[in-house]
Amino acid sequence: MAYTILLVDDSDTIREAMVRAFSMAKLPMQEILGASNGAEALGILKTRWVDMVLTDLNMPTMGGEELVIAMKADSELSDIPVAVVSSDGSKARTERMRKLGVAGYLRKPCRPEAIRDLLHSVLGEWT
Amino acid sequence: MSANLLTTASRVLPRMLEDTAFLFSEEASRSLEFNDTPAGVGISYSGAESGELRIWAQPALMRTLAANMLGVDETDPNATARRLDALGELLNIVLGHCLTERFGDDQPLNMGLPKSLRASDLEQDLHAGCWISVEGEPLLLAWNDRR
Repeated sequence: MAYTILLVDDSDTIREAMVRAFSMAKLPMQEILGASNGAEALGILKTRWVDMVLTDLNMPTMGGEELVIAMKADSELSDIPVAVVSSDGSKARTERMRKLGVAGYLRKPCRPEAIRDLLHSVLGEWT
Repeated sequence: MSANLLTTASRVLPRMLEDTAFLFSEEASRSLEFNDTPAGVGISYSGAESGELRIWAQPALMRTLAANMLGVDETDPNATARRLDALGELLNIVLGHCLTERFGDDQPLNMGLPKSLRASDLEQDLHAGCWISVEGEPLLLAWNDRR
């Protein structure tokens, strides 16, 4: 099975670095979609099938927390697993996001191995 | 307060540079000089303390930073195109770690978005900032009180 992942981060550099990390993790990838904020991500989610969303928190227009809240409130999107990749590693934020239903949380900077492990834990193992 | 945040940032930055871009650095024992026009990025924050952390670097170092973050050669056009974005992302990561270290992790961080600085902002930062040598290239960290 190949996966379609949506990367949500306002930094082009981070989105491209994540794509490289996916490649290093040998994730069976169908497509990697990108969005620079939560609103753009919601627009993509309305029209495309996505297996998982990886999102930053602090972004212009609509942040990651608002994105998660909007997805959980939408019956068509609420089952899509979301993981957070953010420079905010505070326990307060991590716990708040877990209560909102995120499937994983990584603090930047994160190594490719950590990203691979996160994807494994959410999507299951692949060989 | 400013000296403390700057002290924390100058200690945190080398670790983050190494982890994000495999670049080695150390706090300079004396003032360094830019020999090319630097670009600067600032990120404001609020909470237990309010302010703005700033970073200045020359184009060559920014290109190296972007190239290493992206895993491409420095001659790759993407390394040049992404250099300011890469500097802002580095600052974002450094500030996130500094704030947690200084104020604990009981409160979510309240950070702004990276913002390009004006050339006129450099003058005061040159006098109040902290110089870091990144594999021989100068990098300047500064703090601005926004209370």
